[in-house]
Amino acid sequence: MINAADGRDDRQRFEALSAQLRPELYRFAFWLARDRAIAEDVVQETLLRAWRSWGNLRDAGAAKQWLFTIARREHARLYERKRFETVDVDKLITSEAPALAAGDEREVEDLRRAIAGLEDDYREPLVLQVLFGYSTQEIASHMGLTQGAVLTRLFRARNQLRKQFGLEAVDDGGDET
Amino acid sequence: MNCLEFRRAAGADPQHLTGEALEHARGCAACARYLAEVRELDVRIARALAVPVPEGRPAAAVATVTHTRRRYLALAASVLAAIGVGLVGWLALAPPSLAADVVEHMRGEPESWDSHTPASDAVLEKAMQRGDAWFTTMPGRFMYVQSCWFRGHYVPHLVLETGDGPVTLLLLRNEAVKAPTDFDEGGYRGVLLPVNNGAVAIVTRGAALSAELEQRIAAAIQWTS
Repeated sequence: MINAADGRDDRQRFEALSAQLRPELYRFAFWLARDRAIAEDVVQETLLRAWRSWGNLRDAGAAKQWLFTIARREHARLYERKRFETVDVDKLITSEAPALAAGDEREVEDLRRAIAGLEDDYREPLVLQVLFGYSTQEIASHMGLTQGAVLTRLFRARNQLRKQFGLEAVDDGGDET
Repeated sequence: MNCLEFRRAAGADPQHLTGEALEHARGCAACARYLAEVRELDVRIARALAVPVPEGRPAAAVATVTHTRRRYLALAASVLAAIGVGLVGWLALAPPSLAADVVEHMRGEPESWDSHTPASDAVLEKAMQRGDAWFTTMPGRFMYVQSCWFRGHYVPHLVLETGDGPVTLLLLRNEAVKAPTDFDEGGYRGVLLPVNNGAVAIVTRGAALSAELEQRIAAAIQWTS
């Protein structure tokens, strides 16, 4: 039986977890959407859905991955609902300039623009690996891919960034595994 | 393994190379240089990915809001209005993202204030190493030590025992603060102090710490990288 105290405890735990993970959730959503307003929508929708399904979370240690999975779905759903027009990366980067530059020096700004310009399929695994420390196996599970496909996408993401920054690029190989 | 295979492996997962790949790098100067470049680029990418996080609605509001778009927007507008009216002073004083993230982090670990057992030197050393930090002189006894993921990096989260109660320190190697910045939000009072090219957040739940002790803490912090 659920009593009022259980409900309060649940809510406090959820609030604490949300507060702790919100910055990471926002950054994940931002790099999915490359748009601050959409990222904030995704975060709010994600937390709403997470609260409704809170009872299904068995392992608190898996909370971040659970929230990221919900966020990924919410981003896709928002995208579908709003039927965003095909994104012109240059235009989007200009409109998001404050977030992409945000008080940092030029090099960081340039790199943010380059990352924002990567294809979605390449950018997401890179964000998960470099910013959040996901293993390639975890990325594969999160994105519903084989580990080989994740490795290929990560390689291509870095290779494209290397090219843009004048570093020696490697033969990018054939089809995705 | 040949050079092409090595570079594909290093370009995909530079922190988790196989023994065979590492052996190749040891015998091939060009590939060793490539690996160093990839890892160096990853550090820069991580920094670039850590975009500033805007002020968020409290999770309590999220947990209770009725899920209709209209009400959601109305609530968001009212919360924004409340933030605008109520926190103007605070926002004027502090860089919102860093101070707000510090406060959010405090809210996420309420138990940290209640520890009565000193942390071991080994635990402290590990957290400090992970956060690229060390103390030239120990400012006191730490009753709580964690290595916390904060704005894209592991940072030492320490609770110092003082005569005026517990004081929390977040040692922020990767955050630049130009000048001391006070904040007072949600029952947490604190200051962000510059420390070389990093910063320290010093937070209490009651009266502000003396400026002398704050300066002594900041002066004792060194970065290892």
